[in-house]
Parts: sequence; structure tokens; C-alpha cells
Amino acid sequence: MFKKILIANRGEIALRVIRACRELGIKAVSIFSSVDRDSLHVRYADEAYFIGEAAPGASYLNFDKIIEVARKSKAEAIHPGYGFLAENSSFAARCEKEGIPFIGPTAEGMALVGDKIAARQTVQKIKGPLIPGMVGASRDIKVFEEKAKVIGYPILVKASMGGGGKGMRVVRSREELAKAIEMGRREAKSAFGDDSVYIEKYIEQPRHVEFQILADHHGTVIHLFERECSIQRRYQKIVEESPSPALDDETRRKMGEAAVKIAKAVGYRNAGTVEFLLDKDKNFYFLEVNARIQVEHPVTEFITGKDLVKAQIMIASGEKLPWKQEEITQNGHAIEVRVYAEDPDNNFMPSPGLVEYVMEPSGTGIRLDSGIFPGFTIPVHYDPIISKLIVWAEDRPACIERMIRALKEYRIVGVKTTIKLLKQIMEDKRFQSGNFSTHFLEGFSMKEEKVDLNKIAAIAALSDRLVPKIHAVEGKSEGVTSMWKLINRKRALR
Amino acid sequence: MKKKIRVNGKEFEVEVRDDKGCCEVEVEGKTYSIDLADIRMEGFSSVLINDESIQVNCRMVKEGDYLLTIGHNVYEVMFQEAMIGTAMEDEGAVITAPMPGLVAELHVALNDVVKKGQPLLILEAMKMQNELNAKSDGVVKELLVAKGDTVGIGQKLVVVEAE
Repeated sequence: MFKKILIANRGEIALRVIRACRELGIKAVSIFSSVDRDSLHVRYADEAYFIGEAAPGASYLNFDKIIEVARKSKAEAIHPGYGFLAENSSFAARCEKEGIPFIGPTAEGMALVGDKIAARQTVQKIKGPLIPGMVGASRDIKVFEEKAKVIGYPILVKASMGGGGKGMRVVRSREELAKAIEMGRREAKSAFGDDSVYIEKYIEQPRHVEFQILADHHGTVIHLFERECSIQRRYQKIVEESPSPALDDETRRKMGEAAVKIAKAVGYRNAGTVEFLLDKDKNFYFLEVNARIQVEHPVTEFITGKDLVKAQIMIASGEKLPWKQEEITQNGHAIEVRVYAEDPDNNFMPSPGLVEYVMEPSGTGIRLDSGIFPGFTIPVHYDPIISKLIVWAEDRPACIERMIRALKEYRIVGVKTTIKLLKQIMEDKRFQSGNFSTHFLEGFSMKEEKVDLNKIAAIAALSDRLVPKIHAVEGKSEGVTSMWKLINRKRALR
Repeated sequence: MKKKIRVNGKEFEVEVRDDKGCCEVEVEGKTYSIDLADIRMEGFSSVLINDESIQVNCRMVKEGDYLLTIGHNVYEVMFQEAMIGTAMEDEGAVITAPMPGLVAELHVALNDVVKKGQPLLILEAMKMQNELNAKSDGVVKELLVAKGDTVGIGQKLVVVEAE
């Protein structure tokens, strides 16, 4: 087993990996950019090294600097988390060349599945379920136009290196195609450092159901059941759950088998996810393999009781998977919601900035993987994810009730967040029925909550007594009449 | 003493009457008995209003101007003394940056005629391309940024005036 690991990431996932390291008796090394000195992953680590300016290219995507820190700190392996370098096969190859194990698939395996075009070609070979589309990237707009004509609009533009919806665009007519490809390329370039895109047929009203895979270096490949990830906004998952309310046992068995078969066909190693689209008639199509630990992995950890990040580290260190397929069972129900620093009342505009206060939910069945604290400034340079709230209960209705309770407890002051929207999703009848598609949020509008404004006004009348003293004395009132300071000093003496 | 306050733009007449350790607030003829706890938890005060328990966060923007967070809602509270000189600007005309970012694309030029909802520019922030659209029909009267500019939150970008 490794003695020290470098975590090439930031935010909540860096913390998640550090925690797994702690439990395995492994020292954790963090890296940080110029805007992350105050971030939690620096505090939680055993060692932390500055690696460059805020722009990801200068820091969290900088191969040379990361390898240099790994050498200097004598880290024995590198965990990439998700995003950044997690699915960059050149980086995995570099790690292999340097003799520092990359905690993830092999560079070769990643090149095969991380490049979605190569993955489609492999799945085609084993006659896996495929959506019609391009099997190779192109830079020629004519190739895109001709292929789009053959498969028929609407089509989807996707980044070859993509994930999380970055670089993805729906195109409903030929006129929109060139612009969508150009914007897709831009986003792909800035998010993944690679601007290849491809197109495929757009399936109407699909559900997104994915299977968690674990594969060791001794030939064992198992799945840890599905995650339903249909609640998405701009192709970004925001609610995930397991089991999926859409699957019957038979479909679940077939999809699990297909996932393992695909993972074996591509020679997959470590933790990965095989994503499928499920149509209304329960046909499923291979979407892609995510060659990383997923944002939504805690859902699987709750229902299977297995620690996926620990499993990743054990596999990378050459250990055998300690679990057989038949030992993996689904127990109860788990839901994860992603809290973003975005304004749901204003077209989800990013809302970076100072987090003034945080009240976190707790109690039975609650897990909060968070990367913020009061006083932390959410930087503009990275993903707007703040935290993930994961809830477990014995069945889906109880799980939804518990999530609503937890979201009511959860309060963040200073930046706008999606908490209010997430609560309304949980309260939505259609969500509760389990009958929805990836378009769920398109027809969803935020409800005005009924409030008694007179009551609010009564509380508001006492605002001067409610405002924390530290604010009035040292904070925002600087330069304001000293009357407030006087009042507060008087109170302090009381 | 009665005073006027504004909550989310709506005006109320309130009167605060102190009693020992507790106070009464009259709003539009209805009386509320309110008890405030001394310490705050994570910035939130415990408020008992007619025995109902509510957690409230209050931040002062400037003198007489507060932001109250109750549940997941934020209320802007303005006292009489802060109301002077707060006439509303014509919001439709000025497009400001809702977040710091990079002007990735500029879709309009000076004196262009634009329709409500028409994309004016693309602001790249947090790895997403965010389209900023015209809030009303009109003409681009001012163009204050160029492609490639880095802009701060609230910075004026484009002014669209009705014809």
C-alpha cells in the first residue's frame, strides 16, 4: 500500500480523497493555485504545495508542476479526483513514464474510453448497444453536415474529451450546426485542453442511467449497480439516486451485464462508470465510459456500503478486489443533490464570492461533502460546485422526505445557491412519481413560496438588533456614522 | 414611535415597543411579540415571534439598509432614513456583468437595432459560456467592452436604449 499520495485536485473531491487516505494510513499531499491558499483541501492535507496561477492551465492542469511536486514530496501515487486531469490520458501516460502510479485506469485504457469516439468504436466491435452517430472526430464542417443529414436532426454535439455537459450542444437544424460546433470547441478547449468534438443522434425524452464499475489488475470486473441521473440542467447532473425508479430487475440485470462486458472489452482498470441512455420502452444505449471517480459516487457508497475511493487506491496499489459480484447488493435508497453557487432565480448565473455563513444539515442518514466554510471566497476560475448533500433512507419516499428536511436545515449566506431549487425538485409530484426524463427541468419553474410579509416586516423592524456586532464594528459599516459603533459598544458593555 | 420600512420594495408602518427582555412590534395594526436570543449560531439569530421559532440572518448593507435571510429567502429591508435618493434606475437599458468573467464574443456593434432576448455578448465564467441578452427592444447606444476584456461583477457592458 502507498504511504503518501498527491491529490491533483481541489474542492470537495480533494477532501473526499484526503479522507480516504487518512483511513488507509496514507499521508495526503495537496496542491493549490494562487486563489486557493484558503481552500479546505490545503488545510486538510498533511502537506500542501503552491503550483501556479489561478488559470487551470497554469496550476491544476500543469503536468510539469504536478510531477515536480510529486517528486519533491515523495508521493508514491497521484489521485486526480474528477475534472481537471482525471480523464487526460497524456497525463496518465506521463505518470506511468515517471514511475508514479496514476490512481485510475491505465493511459492506454483511458485513451480508449476517455476518447468517446474510440469508446464507441470498441462498443461497436462487441456489438454493444449504440446510438447512431459519428465514429470519428473531424475538423471539417462538411463532414459534420453530411453525417447530421444522414442520422437526421436533432443531433447532439459532444466533446471527445468531455464530461459534465461541457462542450455539449443540441442542434435542431443545419443553420445552428456551425455555431454549435464552434462553441462546443471553445468550451472543450478551455475545460479539457482538447477541442475535438463529434455528433450523434439526439434521443428524445431519455433517462440517464449509469452503472458503477470496479476493475482490478487481476482480471476481476464487477458492477455496483446503477445511478439514475436524469435530473440535469444544461447536461449537468444535479440530482442523482440509486436504485433508479425506472428499472425493473430484468433491465437492471441486462444493463449490469452489458456494463461489465464493455469494461472488459476495453480492458478497463480501476473505478469507472458506464453511462447509458434509457428510452421510454426500456431500450438502453451506450453513451460513454467515464474513466474517473464520479461526482455522484457517494450514492453508490450509501446503497452498497462500499468505499469507492478506498477501492480505487487499493486497486492502484495492485491489490485484489475483495468483493465478488454476488456480494454486492442494493440496500435502501440514496439521493444526492449538487449545490452550486448559481442563482436559480436568474437563469442560473454563476454566483461566486464570499460565503458569509453556513449552517450545515446533519442527523440520521445525512452525508455532506462540502468544500466551503464561512469566510471562504468561491473563486471564479473553477466549477461552481459548492457541495454535495447525500441522504440515505430505507426507501425512495422516505429518502425524499429526509432530503427535504436536510435541505431546509442547509443555509448558505453570501452567495446565491441552488438549494431552493433542489428543495422544490424534491417536493415536485412528477419527481416523486419517479416518471421523468432528462428534460425534467426544462418545464420546471421555480414556485414563489408563500410568505407572510407582515411577519417578516415585524422581524425586519428589529434589523439593527439582529445584525452581528462584528459587522457593524469592523465590517461593512466602515465609514458610516459612528452612531452604530456607539450603540454596539454600549451593548458590548451590558 | 412609528416608522416606515420597506421589505422587498413593499412599504410597512411599524412600531417597536420595548418591554423587559422582550419586545412588541406592531405592523399595520397587528401586534407581534418577539424575543431575540443573545448569541448567534453560524450568523443566525434565534427569533421567537408569537412563540414561532425562526432563524434569521441579518446583514447590514449600509446604514438603514439590511439583508435578512429567513429560510432560503433573502429580504431587502430599508428604513426610512436610507430610502432617500434610491430612485430606481432604468434597469432594462443597462446590461451589467452578473459575474466576473471574460468577454468571449461580442454579437452587436454600436447603433445596432436589437430585439428583446437577442444575444448581445457571451461572458465566459466558471468554465461556462453565458449568453447575455437584451432585456428590451432598442438600439445599442453604448458599447463599453471589447472581445477579450476581463470584466468585474456589476460592470456596465452595453446600454440599449428604446427608440
